[in-house]
Parts: sequence; structure tokens; C-alpha cells
Amino acid sequence: MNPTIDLRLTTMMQTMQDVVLPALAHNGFAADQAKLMLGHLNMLRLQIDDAVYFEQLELRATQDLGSRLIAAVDGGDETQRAASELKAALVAAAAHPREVRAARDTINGAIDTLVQAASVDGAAGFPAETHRLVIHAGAESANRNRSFFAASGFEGDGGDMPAIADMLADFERAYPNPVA
Amino acid sequence: MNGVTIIKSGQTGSMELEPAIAAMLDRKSERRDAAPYMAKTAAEVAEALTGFFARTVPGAIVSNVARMGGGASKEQFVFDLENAGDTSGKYVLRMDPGEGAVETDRRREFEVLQAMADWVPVPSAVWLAADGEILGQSSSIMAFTGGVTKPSDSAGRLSGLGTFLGPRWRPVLGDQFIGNLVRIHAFDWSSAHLPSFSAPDADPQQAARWQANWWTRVWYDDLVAPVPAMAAAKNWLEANLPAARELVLVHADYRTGNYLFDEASGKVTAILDWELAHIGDYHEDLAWVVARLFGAFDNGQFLASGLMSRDEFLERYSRASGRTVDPRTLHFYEVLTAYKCMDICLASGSLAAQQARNHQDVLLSFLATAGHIFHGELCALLEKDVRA
Repeated sequence: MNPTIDLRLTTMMQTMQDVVLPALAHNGFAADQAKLMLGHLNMLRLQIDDAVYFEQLELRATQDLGSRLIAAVDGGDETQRAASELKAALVAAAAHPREVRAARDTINGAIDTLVQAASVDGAAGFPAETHRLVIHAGAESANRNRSFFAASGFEGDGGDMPAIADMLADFERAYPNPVA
Repeated sequence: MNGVTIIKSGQTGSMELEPAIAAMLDRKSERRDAAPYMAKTAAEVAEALTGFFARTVPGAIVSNVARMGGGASKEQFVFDLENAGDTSGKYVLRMDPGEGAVETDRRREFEVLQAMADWVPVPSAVWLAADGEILGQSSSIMAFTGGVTKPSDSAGRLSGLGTFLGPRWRPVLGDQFIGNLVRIHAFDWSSAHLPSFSAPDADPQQAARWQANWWTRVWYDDLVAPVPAMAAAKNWLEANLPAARELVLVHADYRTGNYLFDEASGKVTAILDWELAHIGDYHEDLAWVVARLFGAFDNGQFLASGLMSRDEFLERYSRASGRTVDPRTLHFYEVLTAYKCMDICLASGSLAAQQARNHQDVLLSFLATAGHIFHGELCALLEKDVRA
């Protein structure tokens, strides 16, 4: 590709820094907006090459969580109804592999309903198991996203997140294959 | 069946909340299809203020209207009011944008500021235009208060959302920080004029239940992308509601960054951002103070609100207030803190940006990235106490 996305983003950032910001010296609000744009552009530049693959891996992790929850299902009508909804979402995701973001949100929405249903009429250890699976998966997802967005600067001095490339390598090792 | 209700997006209306909060969230839902929001210009604000004061303080002259920097929850403008007798002076107009990171009520904020006026340092709330009398959106006007939220020499020090204060400022501000919080919690809300506030005193768990329900409703009302951990957190909060030992006025956003201080004297001049204040459990404010993202690190040591270690803060608060800090109640409100912050970053703020309903959509979409840190915090807190 010529010009590359990296070239375009880099030149946009340079122009914002060298031309636009100095021209906004007397408009603090506009200057703040310009600085935020610079922050976004910098993050995009660091993420753009891996963004699509990252979302594909996130979908794999979501599908895996959904499957584990289905395998553990045990409960009354609300739980069974929610489990059916989740199964349907998993089937739909497998049937339409290009609709990554929509699939992830549909599966997560169904997981949300199942987790709540478990607290209504989940049997035996199912509520505790859903809690354990969901929180564990959530912690891992949060860490991956913290790496992906670390350039925001919100981690401050207390965060030390792996670089995006390292995070993706670990992620790919954990979920090597697309879910059929 | 155990009385627990499955909540989905668009099905939150039946949740038990403080009545004024339920009404506020209902009003937000009614505005949901409104047009994208444009930031107001100083000229527009000047014209609107001139019209307002022509009715309110005839003969007063509005001048030097200028936008103030700040977050995305309010638009703020400073202005001078002259030829207005005793009310001449410098003021701040606070206005609701279309939507923001958090929905709040200008009337409630106004009431609590007036109630606290001689109790702790707060901005002086002078005029309320809750029904949009100034620019068509809910607003209030406060006297301008001088001071800074962070030291002038802290620029360039990376601190995330927290504030790095440095060893010179910590003892000076730390004493006042504790003292003011103790004083807020000692306030006799039951005798104060707070007509928009209700006390959660139907049962010992109501204080916790109202808060859990408030932020559950916001998540599902403003849902952008589901996050399963939030459903797990909802279950956990419902199953672990603590009994409030005592009901106090809760500031609900008390931290460094939300008070002004005078750099020359070191004195706190105003405690800001009372918009989430409510009657509830003092542990809620304590949990907010010790939240990791609102603190700072110095040589690897975490400082709550950039001031002192978590343990020191809790011990000093307990000693100064005479109150017991219950670890399980504190844990509940720490979970609630992370839960609320997920709402702010990944629900309300993201949705407002998506729908172009804020004057700083680009800030909200940037702030959304912090939601993943709160997600991590939430999961870590819930992993500490796995009792679904």
C-alpha cells in the first residue's frame, strides 16, 4: 500500500503538532481537543496493523467462554432459556465468521443473560461456576485490552503492561484456532 | 426463585432506586433520540446569560464570558457580573450537555452546595436554572472560587487519572483531606434543606441496594457492548448487600482532583463536584478514595488520592471520625466503585460519544480506554471474594 496508513497517521500527527496546535494558542478548548486527537492518532498508529486480528482473537475467547458455560449449565427454566439463547448465538457466530464484532456482542449479551439467570434458578454449583469462569475470562480480556490501549497513558506509573506484539503472541497461543 | 430479576437493555424501569435518581434517569431516557449536541460558544452563552439576568437581576451587565477547561460531564463558562449590587462578581455557569459520562441533577447539586455552605469549603451556589431557563439545558451558577486542583510543578509527571502531589504537598493537603471528609460525614443531613434527597432507611441494606441498582440501571440503559463480568458483578452486589451502620451524606466523588487549594497558603478553598452526592454509607466515599486509578505511585508505593497509603488513610479516617471501617463493607463499595467506573467509561461516556451528544466526544472516546483498567480492577476484586 502506498501511501501507508502509518505514513498518513504520522504526517497527520506532525501537522497537528507543528501547525494546528500553535495556531490554537489562544483557544484552550480547541487546543485540548487537538491534543486529544493527537492522543487518539498515536494510539491508532500503534494498533492499526493488529486491530482486526485482535478482534478475531477476542471472538475466539468469547466463543470459548460461551462453550464452557454451556458445558456447565444446570438449572431451571430461566437458566435453560438463557442457555438456548447462548447456543443459538454460538451457532450463528460460526455460520457468519466475517461478522466478528456483531458475533462477539451477541454472544456476550447471551452470556450476560445466562449469568443473571444462574442467580435466579441455577442449580447446585452452577452460579459459582459461572462466576468463576466469567471473572477469570474478564480478567484476561481486561489485561489484553489494557495492553492494546496502554498508549492512552491512563496506566500511569503503576501499570506495566506487555507490548501489543507480546500480548498478541500469548493470546494466539491460548486460542490458536478459529472456532468452527 | 429468589426475587432476583434479570435485567436487559431497555428493561430497567422497575428497579428500586432513590426516587429523584429514578426520575433523573427517566428524563435521560426520554431525551435519548435528541439531535447531536454542539458545544456552546462564548457569544451564545453571553447572550443567554444577558437574557437570564435581565429577568433575574435587572440592570446587571454580563461580560468576559470564557469557556473553562475540564471534563465532559458539564460545560462550564466563567463570566463577570457587574452593576448587580451585592451580587456583582465573578461566576461560573455549569450546564448539562446533551449527555455525558455520568447523568446528574443540577437541582440536587445546588441543594447540597447550599446546605454545605458554612460546613466545609464549597463553591457558593447562587442561581439555579434547572429547567433550562438559561440555554434550554439544566444549569446552575456558582461564585468563582480561586485555587488549583494540582500543583503548578506537577506538569509532565505521568499519573494516569490520579494526581501526583509530591512530598511537599502530601502532609499539607492530607490533613485537610481527612478533616473535610470527616466533617462531610458528620453533617446533619436530617435537619438540612435537601428536598430532592431521600434517605435509604427502609431497611439496613437499602443504602447499598439503591447504589447497586442505580449503576446497574445505568449500565443496561446505556449499553454499548456487553461485558459478562458486569452481569457477574450485578449478581455479586445483589447477593452481598451490607447493612449500613449509619447513614451519612456521601460526596460520591471525593478525591484529589476534586478540590481546589491555594498554592500560597496550602489551604483547600473548595471541594468540587458534588453532583453525585446522596445519603448513604460512609464506606462508599472511603472506597472511592482508595481506588487505584484515582491514586498515584511514588517509587512503587501506592498513595490513595496521591496523599498517603491506603492503610494510613483508613486508619486516620477511623481515628478522626470515631467510625469503624468494616472490611467487608469496604470491599462491597470497592466493587461498586469499579462497577460505576465501568459505566462511566464503557457505557454512558461511550454512548454519548457514539451519538455525538457531548461537547467533548473525543474526550469521552479517549476516556473509554480507561474502562479496561476498571474492568481489570472489578475482576480482581471479585476474584478476591468468590461467593456467588
